[in-house]
Amino acid sequence: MRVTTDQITIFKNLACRYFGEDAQLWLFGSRTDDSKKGGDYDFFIETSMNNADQIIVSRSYLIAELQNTEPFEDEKIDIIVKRRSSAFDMPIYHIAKHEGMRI
Amino acid sequence: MKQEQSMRVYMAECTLHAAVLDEALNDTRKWIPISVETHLDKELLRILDQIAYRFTKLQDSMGEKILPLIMELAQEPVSSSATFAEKLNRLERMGAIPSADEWKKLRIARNAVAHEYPDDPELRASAINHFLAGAKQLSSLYQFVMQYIAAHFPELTAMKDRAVCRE
Repeated sequence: MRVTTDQITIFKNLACRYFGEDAQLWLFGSRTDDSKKGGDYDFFIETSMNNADQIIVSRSYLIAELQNTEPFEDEKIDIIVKRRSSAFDMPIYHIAKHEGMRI
Repeated sequence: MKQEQSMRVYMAECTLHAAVLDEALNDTRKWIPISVETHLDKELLRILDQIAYRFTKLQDSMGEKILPLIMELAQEPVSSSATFAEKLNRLERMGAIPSADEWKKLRIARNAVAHEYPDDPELRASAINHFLAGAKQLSSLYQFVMQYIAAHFPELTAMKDRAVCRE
């Protein structure tokens, strides 16, 4: 896994502030693969929040705040949000949860 | 003199970004507001890509070139260690931008679509609508800054007009 403990702590604190204390978080994609180099940070968040506009604004602020911290400065961060209340499903949700790492 | 020449170059650059941005925003008319049912066809995707590109270019050029140069031309003393946020507050007090907070929010609006993955259709619709609202706001902000420049440094716009006439 190519992510520092600092980065994980920062992400968890900020993600829970924006998406609720009960939000569940995963890191997935190339950063979980030690054989790779560089790459984006891909996170998956499952939240009890339901309002779409609120989720989009929260996600935008979360990315901006992360990029304001030294460990994530200039890094590209992608965040997928899944609403617990929604029946909508996509393969990427399963990939993120099963191939990713719960943080 | 050199600063004024640079400013004219930057203004021409930003005016082009803003013109393409406005045209692309105008082209979204038949799709907006985006809803869960909106089909993201290739034409709309092409327009959204164009908006994203010009949004970033216009915002970067304004933030890195035009706004700092306005402070220099206005001879606003700023310490070299001033953060960008401090400079924005100063620009707001000078009346060069409507609000420092709005500028920061626009940076965030760009993030709404900074996303490589497919999304839940309701989230996707909301993200695109936020992004388009931000792009419109950035275009208005640019017009505001241009009016400030025309009012405070009339020689810049006047000389630009003469240059255009000669062509």
